Amino acid sequence: MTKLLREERKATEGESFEGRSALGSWIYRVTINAALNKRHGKRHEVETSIEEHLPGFDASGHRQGDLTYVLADWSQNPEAALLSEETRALLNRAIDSLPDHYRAVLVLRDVEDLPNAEIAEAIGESVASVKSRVHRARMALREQLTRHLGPRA
Amino acid sequence: MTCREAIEKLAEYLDAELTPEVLQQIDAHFEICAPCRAYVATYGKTRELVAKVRRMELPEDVKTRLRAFLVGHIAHTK
Repeated sequence: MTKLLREERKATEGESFEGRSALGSWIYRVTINAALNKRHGKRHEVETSIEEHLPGFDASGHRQGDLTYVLADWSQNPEAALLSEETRALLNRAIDSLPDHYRAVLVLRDVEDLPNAEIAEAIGESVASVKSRVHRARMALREQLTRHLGPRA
Repeated sequence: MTCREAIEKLAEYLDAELTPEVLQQIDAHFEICAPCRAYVATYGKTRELVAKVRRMELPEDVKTRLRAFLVGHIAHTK
């Protein structure tokens, strides 16, 4: 959708800044609402606390946990396995279970590919806050994917 | 640099937003830390998978109708 918006912006180069800006804000709001509402019909699903899916560190700031788990690198697994029905379903559930304010910025950043500054402007928050939430959301999803995909048996 | 500090900066690392000094520190950490190498690889892949699983193309007729609507909206707010 944002790609379409950009094309439209290009096509209407002569428009006033105010006009384009208002349209931008409007379409971001539509996108945010879509991001918030897309829950695959599982509205009753309880949002998980994001804290339980963040990486663990010891007192000196180094990663802690089972070594086979912290060393698990499934990034080179065949694409077919990474995009299997099962993994897609797991990832969709994990995204749906993120708290709303995490899911919205994640979708705008990683699905809609908007720059942090544009997301911050659209939702009226600081760039630092957007960056931090996108990062935590990705870490939470990574953790759940790692539990599912690695370590290899 | 500790794992915690390196992982905190991963988003900026992948977006190439770090200063050369911090970039050098984080790369030096990755060189000696296998868990963080696995972390950055799987973090980057997570970002890709999210896009692949959630991105969808609008059907052509919807694009055409939306485009017409946007043009009308721009004309209206001018």
